[in-house]
Amino acid sequence: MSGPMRLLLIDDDRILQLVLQRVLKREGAEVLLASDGRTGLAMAREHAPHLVLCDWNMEGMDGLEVCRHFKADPQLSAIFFILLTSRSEVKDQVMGLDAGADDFLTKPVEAAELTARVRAGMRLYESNQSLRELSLDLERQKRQLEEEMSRAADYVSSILPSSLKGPISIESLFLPSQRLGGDCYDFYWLDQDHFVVYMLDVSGHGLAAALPSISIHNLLRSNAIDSSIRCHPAQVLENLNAFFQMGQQNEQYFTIWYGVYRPTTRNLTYASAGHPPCFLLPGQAETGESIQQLKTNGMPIGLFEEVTYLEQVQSILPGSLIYLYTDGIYECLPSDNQRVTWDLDQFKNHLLATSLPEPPALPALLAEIRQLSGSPTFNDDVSLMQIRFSHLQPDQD
Amino acid sequence: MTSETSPPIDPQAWGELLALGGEDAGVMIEELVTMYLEDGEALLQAIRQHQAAGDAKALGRSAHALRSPSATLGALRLAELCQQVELACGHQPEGTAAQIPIEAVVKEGQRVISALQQRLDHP
Repeated sequence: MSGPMRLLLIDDDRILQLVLQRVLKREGAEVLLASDGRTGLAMAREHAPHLVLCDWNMEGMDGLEVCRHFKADPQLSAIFFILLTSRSEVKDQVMGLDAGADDFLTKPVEAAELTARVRAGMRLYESNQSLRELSLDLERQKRQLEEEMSRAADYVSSILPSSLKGPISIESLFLPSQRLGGDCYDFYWLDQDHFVVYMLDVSGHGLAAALPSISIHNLLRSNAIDSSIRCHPAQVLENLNAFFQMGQQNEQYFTIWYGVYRPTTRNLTYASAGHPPCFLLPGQAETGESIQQLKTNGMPIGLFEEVTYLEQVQSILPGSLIYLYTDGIYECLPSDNQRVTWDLDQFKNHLLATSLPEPPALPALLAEIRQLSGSPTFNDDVSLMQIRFSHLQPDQD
Repeated sequence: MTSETSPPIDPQAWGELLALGGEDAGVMIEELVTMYLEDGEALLQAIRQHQAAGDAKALGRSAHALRSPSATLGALRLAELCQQVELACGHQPEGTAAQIPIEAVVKEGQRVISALQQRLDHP
């Protein structure tokens, strides 16, 4: 405690004031005196005592009322409040406690009891102060953490590509969750005839997931993996797996779907590692009839050292529509509404149902999904990419 | 609970007061008694006046004001009597204070003042 204990005595009996002041000063306390409740409250606000001794039976505002005023004021409520009373019946004590009193002293006051209770009151006051400070500290740290997450989410958003227009049109959407997941995606022309597109999801939450996702993103953009390899999805995955072994990466792993599209052949070569399937709604004559799932069997990256990844090739008709996403979009918290189910199948069906006549804009699609899933918030990052291959024939490009 | 035969100043209560005073209890006692003698006389006067005027509220307040200091100085019988008057005033309709018996308080009050004066003169 910094400095001597400050005690405020509120009693209209100036003789008792004198006696108590003497006793308490001997204990090293600084004693302030007030003869009525109103003065007492004013003095408390100005001098911030640690303890208050207040007579119950006073003219004007009685002790109970003074106590209530003290406890209702956030500036004063932490002060240890002792009621001085000549009443010792249980029901009186109950009244006092209900009014917020922290302790009682019966009159006539005995020196030993007075000092013991004042000391005990002081101990309680100090431990409350420590708790209060701790709680403020924790609040501050929590706010700081939330701010950091928010900034990290902003950074991730900033490195993700925006939309693309042309024979290949792409719209994408990234919705970081409050706990920040490890979603990341990218698309770009490697060269004239190779268009790379991928989406990944690092396990876990917070910066531990976001940081690796950012570094993988940078890795795939840089020349760390040769561009000749970057045209071959299976090899890319094997390279990534070699780089990111779980044991070295804090027990983390990630799922990825990686594809390379060649306009000259209209072939999409792809490989996936534990990621949910890419949805293809074929164009031209088959539009609106079905969804194809593009996925290869492969363990998530970073789980095992020796993994072989396979790739598949898919021919893409003009007018086709492709969706890439992460599991946050279909793994919602169970809602209170028992009739609502939302899972991968429902998601798939909804995409199919909304593809005609025109595929929906992503924000609208997300709003529909929120409604269908019955949960207004997602508990994980949500990433969604919509790729449209133009209706023009190759020789019309 | 005190009775008519209780001493004006309760010896045990007086002893506790001395204990509270600690090392220089004498100085404290002198200060307290001096204060009490001033206030006490004035309050007894007020009690008589308010009763004659029939002001129950004011009578109650004066009795209350006399009670606590009396108790502090060991005048337990007087304190009890004051409390009785205070309670009676609380239940009394306006203007009927004349019926509240104050003789006991007044008489005891004088006894206490004399006893304290004595202790002041012969510590």
